[in-house]
Amino acid sequence: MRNGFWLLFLATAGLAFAGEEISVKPGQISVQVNGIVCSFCAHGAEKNLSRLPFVDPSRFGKDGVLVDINSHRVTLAIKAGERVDLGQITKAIRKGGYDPVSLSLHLSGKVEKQGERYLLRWQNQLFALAGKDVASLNHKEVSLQVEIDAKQIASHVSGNPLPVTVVKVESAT
Amino acid sequence: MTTFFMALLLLVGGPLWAHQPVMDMAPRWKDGFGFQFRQESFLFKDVMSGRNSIENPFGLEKRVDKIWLEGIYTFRREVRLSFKLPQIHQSRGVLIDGMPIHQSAEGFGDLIIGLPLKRYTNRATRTGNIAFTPSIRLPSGSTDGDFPLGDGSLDFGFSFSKSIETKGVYQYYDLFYWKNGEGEQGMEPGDEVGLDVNIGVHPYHNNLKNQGLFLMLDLSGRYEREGRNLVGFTGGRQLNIGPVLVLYRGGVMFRAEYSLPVFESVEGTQLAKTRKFNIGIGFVF
Repeated sequence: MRNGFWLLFLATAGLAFAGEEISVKPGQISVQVNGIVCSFCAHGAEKNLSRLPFVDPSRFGKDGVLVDINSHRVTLAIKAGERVDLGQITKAIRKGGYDPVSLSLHLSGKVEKQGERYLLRWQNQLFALAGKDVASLNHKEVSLQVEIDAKQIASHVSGNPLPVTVVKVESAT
Repeated sequence: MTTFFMALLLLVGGPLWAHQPVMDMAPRWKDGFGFQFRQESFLFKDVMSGRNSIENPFGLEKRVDKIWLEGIYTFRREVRLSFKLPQIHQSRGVLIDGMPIHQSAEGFGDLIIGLPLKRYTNRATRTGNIAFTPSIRLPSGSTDGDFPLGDGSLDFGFSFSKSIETKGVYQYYDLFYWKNGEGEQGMEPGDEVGLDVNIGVHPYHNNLKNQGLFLMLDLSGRYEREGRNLVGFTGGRQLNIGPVLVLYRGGVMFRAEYSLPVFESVEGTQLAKTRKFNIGIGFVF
């Protein structure tokens, strides 16, 4: 009984000290941005992002963009059914004077193994999945929360799979 | 003797706060631009000789009100172009042949153009920049009359600045120098060097409404070498301190400052020791 208690305590403590998990809702894209500490200073970046055609201006106030200086993240509300251009997002933030670090978003589709890679096609864009237990998702219809390095987006060649890390499996059938 | 005394009382201290950055915080985005209106008010009522206050039996004083129109354009975050143009209303009491005479002047002052060159550093939880800003002050202010709005000289200056900002704390340091050229009618203010420091906190912010509040302390030190105006000496040393309040919402910023002299020493005898009140509103696009 005592050993079980200590095991439960250690497991909980381990979770408490684990890295902060970013939770992104479907229909949103969250971007970790270096230097975002003042929303007046970020006015230009916010304006650039709000003008992207796939951003839903009816949410997050009046422009579809939420600048959170506490978490140093910018969250975009995405219009349902609209094709998202991740390169435009990172470019808008750089033009705004800041440095995007990573993007978190939801992907859904069927995972197919091609060679050594596990690929998922979403909105006609191809993503190469990485992370623990990705192999177990092969041939499954999945809904995933993934994280993308902003530098990968900047150097991405159209047509090639974009590397992403699976952070959370929402569903897999 | 009367003429000498009259001349002494005409040695009015000039406002030594011509330097102020235009919107350091923004716009840092490519093709951004902004403008602001800023009201500065000075009232000089104390006569000083060196570091000492002396009698002012005629109650002479000088008042200067400036409304600055300032603008900035950001080609990219590293390169901007700024301008500042004051609309001045000034008045003073002077002693001529033993009689106190009121003099005033109104109009545009000298146009200042700057080229802020910045290098940004963005980290996970903070941002900052270092900047070098060369500037030029054009002689657009009238040199006519007994109380001219400008001295007719072409002046050059530069500044080095550093800012560091986290979500809770703001710091800004600006060291500047102005080389004042020789003006008309023998007017030649001395070269000026100064240091401005703004340190403060960001105690309130609303992410959804994009509004917030900064509370800061402004520390300004100035040294102007001995120079000449129409009636005598100019120049001296000053240290001023005071609070700064900044409110912002979206792309609009409101700023109010109040500054008190904590140390002053003047060349010759001058009207000095002004409190300064500064209020402005800016818009960025």
